Amino acid sequence: MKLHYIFMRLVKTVLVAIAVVLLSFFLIRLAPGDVATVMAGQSGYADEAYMKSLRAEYGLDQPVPVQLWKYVNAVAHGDLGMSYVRSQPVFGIIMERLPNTLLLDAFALVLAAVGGIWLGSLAARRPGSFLDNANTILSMFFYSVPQFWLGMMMMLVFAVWLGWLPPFGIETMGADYTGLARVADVALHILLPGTTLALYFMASYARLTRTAMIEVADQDFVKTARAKGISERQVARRHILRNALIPLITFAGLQASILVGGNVLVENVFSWPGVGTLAYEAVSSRDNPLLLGIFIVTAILVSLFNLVTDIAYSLADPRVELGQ
Amino acid sequence: MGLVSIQNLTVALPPGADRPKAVDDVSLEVGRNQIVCIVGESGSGKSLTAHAIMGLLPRGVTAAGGQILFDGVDLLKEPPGAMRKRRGRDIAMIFQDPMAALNPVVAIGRQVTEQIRAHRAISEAEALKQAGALLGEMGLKDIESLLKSYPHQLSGGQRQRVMIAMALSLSPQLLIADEPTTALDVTTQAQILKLIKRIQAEREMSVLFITHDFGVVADMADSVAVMRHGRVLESGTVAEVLGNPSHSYTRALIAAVPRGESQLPPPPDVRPLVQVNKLTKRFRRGGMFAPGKVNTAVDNVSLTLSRGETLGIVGESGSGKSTLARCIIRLLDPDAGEVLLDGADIAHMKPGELGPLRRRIQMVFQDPFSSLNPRQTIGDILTIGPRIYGEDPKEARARAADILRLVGLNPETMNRLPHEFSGGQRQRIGLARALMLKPDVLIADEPVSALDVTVQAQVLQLLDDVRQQMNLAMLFITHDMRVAAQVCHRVMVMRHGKIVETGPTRDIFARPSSDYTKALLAAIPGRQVR
Repeated sequence: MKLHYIFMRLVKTVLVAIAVVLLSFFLIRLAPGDVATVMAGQSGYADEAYMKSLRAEYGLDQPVPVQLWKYVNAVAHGDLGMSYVRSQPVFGIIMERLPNTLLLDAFALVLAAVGGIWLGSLAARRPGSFLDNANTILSMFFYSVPQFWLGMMMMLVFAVWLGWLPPFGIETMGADYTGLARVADVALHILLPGTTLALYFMASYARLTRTAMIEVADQDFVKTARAKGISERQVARRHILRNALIPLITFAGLQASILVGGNVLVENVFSWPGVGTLAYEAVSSRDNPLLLGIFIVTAILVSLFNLVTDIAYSLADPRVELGQ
Repeated sequence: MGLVSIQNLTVALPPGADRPKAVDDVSLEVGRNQIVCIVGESGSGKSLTAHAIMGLLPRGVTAAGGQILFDGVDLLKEPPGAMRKRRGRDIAMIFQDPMAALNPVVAIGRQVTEQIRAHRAISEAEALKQAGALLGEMGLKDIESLLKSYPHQLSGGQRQRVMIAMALSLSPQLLIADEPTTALDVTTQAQILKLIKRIQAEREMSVLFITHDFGVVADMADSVAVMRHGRVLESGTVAEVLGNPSHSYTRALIAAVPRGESQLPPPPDVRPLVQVNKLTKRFRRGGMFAPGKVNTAVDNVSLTLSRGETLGIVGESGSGKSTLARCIIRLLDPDAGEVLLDGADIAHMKPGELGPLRRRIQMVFQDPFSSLNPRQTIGDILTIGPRIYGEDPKEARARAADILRLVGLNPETMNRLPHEFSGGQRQRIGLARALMLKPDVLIADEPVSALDVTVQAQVLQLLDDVRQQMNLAMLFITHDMRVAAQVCHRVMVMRHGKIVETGPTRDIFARPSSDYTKALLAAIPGRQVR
């Protein structure tokens, strides 16, 4: 029954991917210009014949339905096509970048969740206290500041002025560290972009945790817990926080989806070699096969994250049955 | 000296509350091996008195004066750490709604062992063994799987038994029970009351039992204290207080306990206005791909209802009585059967035909707090219906003033919002809203179960007056046989979606034919009061 449900969800994921292919295939073509105009522009001069031969080379001279059919047919066979600009298989390019993005996202997600829940539960303990108010103001700040600006300021302070952290990239160029030294090097590089991403979401976690805990603290079973004679710390952890965390699972799933699909800005500010920077490059060079490939991969990832969220939810809350 | 001696206890509310003191100079004794009842309506301070003993007053509410001596020690002077150790070990408490009082995401076994292990240094396995034995003692079955279950998988009665097992796990000297049966069905209530009495006698402990129901007092208490507005009006043994109440409020409370016998004559025999034939409603659970489970909430039910008549539908939770009402008023579409209003089948009408008829069947809901839109003034709430049917707004307002007078409210309150009214007043507004549409049929779904006893009596009287004046056909849904006896000409008893028996109220009460009805009648607390 549960396996059946998960299987059906995976089938839905495939349907979503197909819908994304169709939709984005046409959407991309709404933008003016194509790869031929970009290449012609880069080479400085191009006549009609050269443009025509470029378009013929990439199959852009064929009718749109034919192009679509060819593309869908290839995707169905697991082939995302060749990048116009890089002349490499799209799938390979994305797979090379995807681990970097997932690493950055996971770092930001864990940092945001742990920090936000901790801050939120501190604030919930005494609503209206100084700590609570400070928390509220800081949360609003990080929530409302544009991420790219925050990234630039972090870079300015910690990389340029203080010189503590490397300003961009995923590892030191040309150092060729191996083993632990390489891990340490990547860890240093991830701090700035990771924290920039995390601060925004940490603010939301803190607000949500605070509200949820204050709400749960009013419920009868918390009174029961106190009547049992267990300590306040246990009341807070086992009864209040345990119940308050359930709605946060939904939020974490949402956040994972947003991160994997949309941290283009932060990745670009810190030149993080992930899918976000790749997407930016693909857009600016009209590299449609690459862009479509990114869309498909992220759509599938988002669907999978949703499924994982639902499974996690049903594990955390015994009242929720998977698929009900 | 008794186990607990409360002397001149005063509990202060935070500044800005509607009154300065919730408990005012209360003195009370709970003897050893005794059940003491505090009886009072909402706002009487009975619950806060109990919470003060536990040291669990809500934030901002403080014990401002007096003493609570427990075995000679003043609990109000105990440091928080010492008080925490007493909670659960010396004094335990159970609450009104066992569903809300149990943590929804922690297994039953774990919730019981948590209490044991908070006070005793034993292993989880050992504690689990003790928990199992306790649950067995409470009359629960299939302990192994019960320990692994979660609260939502149990029935109301099972949950309260779990709560009691938990409370008794460290053999406390005092058990505080705060309205422990108010949220339960009558038959379950009777079982839980019996259980508490048995346990009290076996363990020779003291019980402080808080209730609003003099029927329960009569069944349970050795002695009783009557509270109102934070003060004890009178106290004494049950025989003294019930047999010879000295205070007029006590007399009013006792009088307000609905007598379990019908005063109404059998119904007038006329052509029925509403005729329900073989109505069935099923609910399906399950998603698009999951195999569905079918629950037949209303199973082949037929009934008739005439003008000027009140038909009571009595049943416990899950009996299908509310679903039946919702099908009759077409808030739900029945799966089979017909609902004839003056011969026209409204169960299968299209929305367009149904529209004009909706006015003729109106409903009064159970919860007076959530059934009125908090952002609409009383005037708007009353006139929006008639205005939809094309009545002139000025005329509607004038009529609303009349109707408000009819239900016993001042017409000048029309510009106020619902939160400015008490529960009883809101229920009057709910009734006025229904009457504004000049209905022929009034469906009252548990209209008094959320109200205090004295208020309950007034609203019941009002419903009956209105029925007579406007010659309404009334369908009265309740879980309470006593209430049904007061206002219904005929009673229909439902269980698991089916009709168990139906007949004139007098006959059903005097000569119930089914075992289930007999059990329902036997479960009514407080035979002495009647």
